[in-house]
Amino acid sequence: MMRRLCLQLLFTFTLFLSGCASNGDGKTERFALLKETNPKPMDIIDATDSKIGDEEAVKKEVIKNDHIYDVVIVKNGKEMLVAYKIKHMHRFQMKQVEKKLTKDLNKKFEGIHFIVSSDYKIFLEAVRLNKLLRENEIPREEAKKEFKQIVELKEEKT
Amino acid sequence: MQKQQKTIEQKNYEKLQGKHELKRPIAKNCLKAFLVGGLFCTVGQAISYFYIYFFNFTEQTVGNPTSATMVFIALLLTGFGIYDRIGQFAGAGSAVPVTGFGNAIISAAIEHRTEGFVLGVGSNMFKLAGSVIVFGVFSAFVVALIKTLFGMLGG
Amino acid sequence: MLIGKQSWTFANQPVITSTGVTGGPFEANGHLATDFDLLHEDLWMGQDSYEKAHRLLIEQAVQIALEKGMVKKEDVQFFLAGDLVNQITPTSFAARTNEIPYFGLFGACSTSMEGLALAAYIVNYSGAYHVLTGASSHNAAIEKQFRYPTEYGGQKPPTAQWTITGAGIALVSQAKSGDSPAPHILSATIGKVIDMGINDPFNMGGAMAPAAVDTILAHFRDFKLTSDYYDAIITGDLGYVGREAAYDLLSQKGFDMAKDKFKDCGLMIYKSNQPVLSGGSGAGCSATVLYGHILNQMKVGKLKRILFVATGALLSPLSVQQNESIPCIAHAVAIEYGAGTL
Repeated sequence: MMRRLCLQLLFTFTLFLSGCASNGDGKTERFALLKETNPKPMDIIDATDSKIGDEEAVKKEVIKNDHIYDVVIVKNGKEMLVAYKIKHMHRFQMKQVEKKLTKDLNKKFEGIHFIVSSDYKIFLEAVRLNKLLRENEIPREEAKKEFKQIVELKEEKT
Repeated sequence: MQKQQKTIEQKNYEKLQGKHELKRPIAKNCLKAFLVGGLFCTVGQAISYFYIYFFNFTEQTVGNPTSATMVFIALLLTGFGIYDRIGQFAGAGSAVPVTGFGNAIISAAIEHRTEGFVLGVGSNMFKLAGSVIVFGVFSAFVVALIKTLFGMLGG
Repeated sequence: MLIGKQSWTFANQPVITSTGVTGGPFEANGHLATDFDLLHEDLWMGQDSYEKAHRLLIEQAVQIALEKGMVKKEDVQFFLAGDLVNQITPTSFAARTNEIPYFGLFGACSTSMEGLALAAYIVNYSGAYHVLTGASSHNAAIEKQFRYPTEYGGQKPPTAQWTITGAGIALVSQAKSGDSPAPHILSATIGKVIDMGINDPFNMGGAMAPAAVDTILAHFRDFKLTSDYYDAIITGDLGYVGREAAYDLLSQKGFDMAKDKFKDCGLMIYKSNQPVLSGGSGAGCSATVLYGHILNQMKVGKLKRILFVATGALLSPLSVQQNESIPCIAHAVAIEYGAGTL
C-alpha cells in the first residue's frame, strides 16, 4: 500500500512540474542555465546616433575575464544589461568579479549605464529578450518594458 | 551540580562493557550522510531551477520558496512514515538540511495530536525545533552585533 | 520464607495456572508470533490514542488469562501490574475496568518479576487464592514517554533497543495436590539498585547488565546452588550488548555456565531481519516472552527448571537530561515445571 502511495505521489508531482514546461522557450533558452549560449548582443533601440559596435566591444571586454565563460548583452539606449555566467569553481569570487567588472566597464565605456549581474535568473531573462529581439518578434515598446522589469528584478533582495 | 567521581568498580565495568558496546560505524555513516544529503540538495537545486524558470525568482530570492517546498515534501514523507526510516539510514544526511527541521516539527505535531490541538499540537510542535529557532536567532543577533561594532570601529 | 540475605522460598509452590499474552504488529512479524494469544494488526488497535491502545493490550491479556484459567474475575483477589507510562495510567485504567483490588507496581522493565515474586509470596502465605500479575509496554506510547517522537528521523546508535508492544499477564494460584502439570514458582530473589555510572540512555542493556549479574549471584549465594541447577538463566531485555557484558561479568566473578544456557528475551522475540538494532526491550518484553514462549517451551519439555531475571533501568527523561547516570535493578524468579507439589 505504501509503495503505491509513493508512486502516486511521485506521479502527481511530475505531472505538476511538466505542466509548466509549455511556454515560448526554444532549445537555447531551455538549456540556458546548463549550456553555453553566448548570443550576439542586441540593441533595443536601433540607434544610429550611438556609436555602432559598442555592445560588441563590451562583450569582448567581458569575455576576456578569466572567471567568465558566457555573456549575454541587451542594450536599451544609454543602459546596457550585461549578464554573465561564472565558471563553477570560481563562484566563490563572484562578488569581487562583479565589482571589478562594473568598475572596468564604467571606466572604458563612459556615458553608458551598466547593469551587471551574474544571477542565473537575470541571465535567463536576458537570453529570452535577446532572442526575441534577434528574431524581431517583439515590438520596441514591449521590449523596453521587459528590459525595465529585468532591471527591477535585479534590485529585488528578498 | 557536581560531577560524581566514578568508583574503581564502575570504571572496571565501563571497560568491560566498552568491549561489547557496538560502535557507530562512523566512516560508513559519513558516506551515507554525504550521499543522501547530497541527493536532498540535488532535489532542492532542481526545485530552485524550477522556480527560476517558471516564476519571477532570482538566485537571491529563490531560497525562500525552495526551502518551503522542501519542508512541505519532508512533511508528506514524515506523515507517511518514510522520513524516520531515511533518518535511521542517513543520519546527519537527512537531519542537517532544512527537511530535518521540517521533520522535527511535524513529527512532534503528529505525536501530540492525541492531546488536542491547543495543548497537544500547539504547545509541543516546537519541542525539538524550538531550540534551533532560539539559538539560531540568538547567534544571528550576536554575529550582527559584532559586525556592527567592528563596522563602527573601522568606519 | 526468607532465605539468605534477599531471597524467598515458597514452600507451597504457587502455580501459574494460565497466562494471557497480547502483542502488536511488529511482534506478529517476529520470531515468537505463534506464542502470542492475540496479535493486533495496527498499533492504534482501533483506539484514538496509543495510551488507550496500551490499556486495551492489558485488558485483553487479563481477559484471556481468566478465560484460559477458567476463573471468574470475582474470584481473583489481587491484581499486581505495571507499565512504563507516567504514573502507570494504562495499568491503573485497566484495573478500573477489571475491578480487581489492585497494587500498581513500578520497576521499569523488571516489573514483570517484581509482580510475579510478590504474587507468589501472597499466594504462598494464603493471602489470596488467585492473583493476576504482569507487565506491558506499547512501542509508540513508551517512545513518546522516553524518547523523541516516533516519526522523528534521528539516527539511533546500534546499542539502542526496540520497545516491544505487548502485555503478558499470568494468573498465579495456590497449588493443589493432584493438579495436572503446571509451572510452579519455587523461589525469588529481590535485587538491589545497582549503578555502574552508565549514562547513555541509548545503551540500556549495558547499564542493566551489572544489576542482572548482582541478582543472579545473590540468588545462587542465598540458595547455595551451582550454575547447573537450572536448565537456563533467562534475562529480560539486556539485548545484544547487555547479554555479552553480563556474561563476561559473571565469568569475571567466577560464575561459570554454558553461554547457550544464558538467554535473553530481547534477543529471542524478533527475527534477525527486523530493524531492532540491539534487541527488544520494555516492560512487556520479559512478560510476553516468559508467559508466552518460555512457558510453552516448558510445557513441551524443552526446559524444566529456569531462573528468570527481569532487569529494569530506573531512569526518567528528566534524570537523563540532568546528566544523571542510570540506576538499574533486577529481580529473579525460579520456575519449575511439574505435577502436584514438587
